[in-house]
Amino acid sequence: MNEEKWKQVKDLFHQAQAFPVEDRVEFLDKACAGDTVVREKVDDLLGSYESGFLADPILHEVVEIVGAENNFQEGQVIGRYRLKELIGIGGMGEVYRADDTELNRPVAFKVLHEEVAGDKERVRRFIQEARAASALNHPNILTIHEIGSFQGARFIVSEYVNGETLRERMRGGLTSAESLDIMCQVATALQAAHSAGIVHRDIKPENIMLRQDGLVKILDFGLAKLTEADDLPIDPASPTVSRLQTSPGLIMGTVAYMSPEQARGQAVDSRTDLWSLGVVFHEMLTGESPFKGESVTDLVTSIIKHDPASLNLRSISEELKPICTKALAKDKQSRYQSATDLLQDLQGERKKMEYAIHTDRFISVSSTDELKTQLIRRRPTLSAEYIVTSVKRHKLATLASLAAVLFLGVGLSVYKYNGAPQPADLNGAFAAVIGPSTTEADLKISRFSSPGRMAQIAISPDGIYIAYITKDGGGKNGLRLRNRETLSDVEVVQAPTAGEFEDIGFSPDSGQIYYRHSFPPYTGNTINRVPLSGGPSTKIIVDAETGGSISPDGKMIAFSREVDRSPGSGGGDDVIVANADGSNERVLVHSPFAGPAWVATDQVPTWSLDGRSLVCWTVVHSPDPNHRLTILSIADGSMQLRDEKWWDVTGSVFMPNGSLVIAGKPMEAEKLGPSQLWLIDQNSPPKSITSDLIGYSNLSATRKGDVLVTIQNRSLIDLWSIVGKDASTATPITTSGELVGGGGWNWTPDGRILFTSSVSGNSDIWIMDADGGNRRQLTHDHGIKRVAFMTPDGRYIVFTNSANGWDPHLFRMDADGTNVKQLTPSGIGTASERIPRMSGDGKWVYYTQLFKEYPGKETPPNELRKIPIAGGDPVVLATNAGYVMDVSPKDGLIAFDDQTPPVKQGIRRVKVMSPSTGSIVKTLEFPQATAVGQMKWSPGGRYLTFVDQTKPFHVIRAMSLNGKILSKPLVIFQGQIGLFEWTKDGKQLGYARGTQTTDAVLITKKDN
Amino acid sequence: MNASSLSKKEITAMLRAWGAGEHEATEELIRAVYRELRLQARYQLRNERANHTLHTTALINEVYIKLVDQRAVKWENRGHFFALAAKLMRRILVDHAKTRHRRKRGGPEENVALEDVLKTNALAAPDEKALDLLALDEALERLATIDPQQVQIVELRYFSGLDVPETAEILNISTATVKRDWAVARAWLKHELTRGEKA
Repeated sequence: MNEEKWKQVKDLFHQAQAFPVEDRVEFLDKACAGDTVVREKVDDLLGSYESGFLADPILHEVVEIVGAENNFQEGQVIGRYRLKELIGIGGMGEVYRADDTELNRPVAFKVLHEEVAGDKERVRRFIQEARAASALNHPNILTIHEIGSFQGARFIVSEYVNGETLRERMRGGLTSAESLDIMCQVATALQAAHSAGIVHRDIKPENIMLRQDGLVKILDFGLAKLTEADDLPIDPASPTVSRLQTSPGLIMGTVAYMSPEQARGQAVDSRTDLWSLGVVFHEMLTGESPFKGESVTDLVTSIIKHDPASLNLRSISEELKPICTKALAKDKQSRYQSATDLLQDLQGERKKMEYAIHTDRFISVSSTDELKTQLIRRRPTLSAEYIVTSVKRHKLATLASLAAVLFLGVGLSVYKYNGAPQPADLNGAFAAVIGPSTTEADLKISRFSSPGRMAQIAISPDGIYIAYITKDGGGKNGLRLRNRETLSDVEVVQAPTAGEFEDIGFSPDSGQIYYRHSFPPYTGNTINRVPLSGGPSTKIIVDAETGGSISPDGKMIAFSREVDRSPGSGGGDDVIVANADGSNERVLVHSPFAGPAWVATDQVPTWSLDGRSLVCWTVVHSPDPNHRLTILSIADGSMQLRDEKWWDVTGSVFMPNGSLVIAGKPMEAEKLGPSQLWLIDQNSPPKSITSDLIGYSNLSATRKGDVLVTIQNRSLIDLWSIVGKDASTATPITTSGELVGGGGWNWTPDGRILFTSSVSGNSDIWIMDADGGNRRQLTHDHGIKRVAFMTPDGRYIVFTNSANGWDPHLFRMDADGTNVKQLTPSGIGTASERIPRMSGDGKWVYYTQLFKEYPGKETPPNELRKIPIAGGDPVVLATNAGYVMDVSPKDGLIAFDDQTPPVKQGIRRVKVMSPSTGSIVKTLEFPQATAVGQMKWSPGGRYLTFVDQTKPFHVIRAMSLNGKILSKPLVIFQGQIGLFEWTKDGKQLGYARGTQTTDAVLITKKDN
Repeated sequence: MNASSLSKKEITAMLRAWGAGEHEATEELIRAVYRELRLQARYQLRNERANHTLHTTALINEVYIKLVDQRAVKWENRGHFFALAAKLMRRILVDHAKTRHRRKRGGPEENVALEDVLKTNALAAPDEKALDLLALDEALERLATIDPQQVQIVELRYFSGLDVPETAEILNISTATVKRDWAVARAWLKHELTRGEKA
């Protein structure tokens, strides 16, 4: 019925009601003038009208339901669980975030409605199934800790997933690559569940959770059992017979994912899950459901009879369409027959796509091009600290002596803020998201849009605006502005024709955005300003090495500039203040490169709250290049440095009480983890806020400090293998992107795989079969671990563990994860986490010892050492060792990186040592482009193999012991690779590979 | 304890977006409203069960004041809020009816395929009220395709218990329109719900 007719019906109905019943026929005969459609409808309405129908509101029922539906509420303690926050509601019951007070971990606490949980037989079957699924111990299936009851109410306690549902994620839009990744993970989980005879029956976006680090978790296995009215006797031998129990009132959301056989009430098997997943896939790709209907009836008809909506969107790659179509075949026989089949197709596409995405950097390694970029622009790269080091060393090496002004401050380590915070700031401190007692669990992290592709972001001091730049469009992107209240989103500055925008910041009054435009050859980079209210942008500063930040009173801008870049010229970095319009520049401090320290231009200087000083970062060369937090006085340019050493600092922002939140990576040891959030308060040591496997950068906050905005850099790393040297046989072993740090894995002597996974939420050591099956978690403590190897006799596993996050030591444990014993002594320093090795005779562990101090040396050298696997004292094999080594499978020769000065530019020196005599039998020189990679003996022990990364696609090459590099590469990969290991027989090569995504997130405080 | 992990400002922004045509209210917003609603409901049940009068508008108003930043809000946001609350009420009732209904309808003889159920609309009803609600919910879905404003009126009047002037204020229409549409909507729904019986 069209709008006009409907209006006519309404009017006539209304007018007819004014007539006595007996006169209505006459009135309508006349008024409808033969329009039978209208007449019939009006008659229907008049005939159905009852004044009492729906006259009594049923709000009181709502009150009865929500007010009394269970006995749980926030703050309540049930046994060992303390309920903290209601995080979900639905037909089944409520879900809370809770604390397990015994194990001191967050959990999800799900309460089942009395109605759902009342039937004992049903609950028994549900528990059985849920436990069975959980017992699969699959990384993509939610682990259930406990199913219990309390005062008659049933509850399920499971692992707490800090993330969002796929439904929530889809609102922000998904790329094909992202969708594919999620699909792969869900399919992997279904593969495991189905092969154990468990069908989910209710796959939908609400039941798929995405953890912060990208790991996908399927929820509610077995829960469909609770709501099915399946009261038939169960024959365990027969396939599960599910009788659909439903009514027209079933909400659309549930119906939309039903398979045709489910909708018909026919027998359901694993292929039903594949259909539902197909619907999910279609929705991820197009943003819309493949089947539509205005009512449940229409929807069901559409599912049973109609073809799915077309996938004709340009953004969807052609190859994905057949997968979607096949998953949505009406006839079970024509559909994917198993999750394995589906997964195979998905993996194939994922592989192709990864190669296709050029703008996505592959992690674990960096190309020489990037290295060059680093040299020019000195931007530290995530997870490539050695590159950063080499870059900084390079700079130090090419420039000569030291600025006295910098040395004055070093060692003083006085750190205080000038002037007390204003009262308003103190009040604000209560609202601040991060304070002295904040822990990770107190933070609420919600994602900004543009999944995986965010380049830069900043929030305005008043909290209303977010300025951002995405990576879409191959790095050439404009500056966008989102109003958080109206959600309007506009491009305020168009993408530059050359170079890119970065270092965005707001003026204190939230009226202007400042940003830097950097472009080749990066010597004339500008700082520009654009008003939020619109209008053209203005160049404020020309030749800036960092972006600018504006003083709290809005009058001044601070930035840094590199002066006279030619080597040996006595050039250096200047930190400069000027009027906010760019006039009247004044150099606050000039730090010549020719010294052991200079003010880093990695980071935009940050104004202190009182505007009297700037927080900068000084790079001090000794003992290793490290960043020191520096307070630079505006009045006289004097500097004060703090003691803590940081590898890398990727952001800093003040909280209203004067404490500083930074994103950084501490220096104390060779920690593999990415930059984390830390709180730095006046005189206390830095306090760790986050300790996850995501890297943080690009911090900004509101004036009140109640919203912190940052970019999360996630590494998704998986293990792959190829047969022999044929890269076309590449097969994934893991699919969840779960490997920690791109490495830390090895083959066991019996051909299984030991690896370091983040699936538990921490870096733990796991073991699995060579095909990825039979996973078992071996460690459960909170330390940061990294696998080394299993001893040849299969008795021990050797690994490094860093209990506090930056102090790793060498440990061994029994092959089942018990009897952990520390091998290396505490106190003198730490053990390198990078690939310790077993001696050829199986008695010693070779490793690199790092020192905090070293007698007679300002820069402590590393030592190559060995320590008995049985326990005992270490023996020094060589000094000035690098981090990389390997032991020949043939004769036990040790090849190791040698860093004895002088180090030749562009050359990586490797020494080969005889284990029996300790003498050096060979010294080899590798081209520098291999330095970041690794070095492995070939399985036969005749060559040293290494990754040549001079090409965008990686190649494994071999060098013979006479120093010749074989012209023919051993393996040519289609992408870039991380840590690789050959099997003992040399028939298989395993390697890590992955991608990096960057998401912008808003961090606020959770209420407890 | 604050009722919501969202700030008033965020809730206000979300409401505005939702009111401005954003397709779905975010789950987070609904959760925030639900949570506050539940607190208020418990309070009312504890304190006012004796005289059994529920001040319905007062209830939702209470929730509104707790959640939304009054100063920063334009008048129409209040309408958005009440509309959202009404939708939530509907959802709670329907979800509840659904679970209750599912459980009560057990047994082999009632294992009817959905298709059959839909074809005949023959609902053997062990629980009249629950079934009415479920059928009503679907009828409302259909009505929404013809006349969305009528659905809003039903939600506000029936599920949220607002009177005619309040409903008119929220929807920014005249009381006469509310009265008329309310009558038509009820007649239409009644007809939809009894259509199967008559056929």
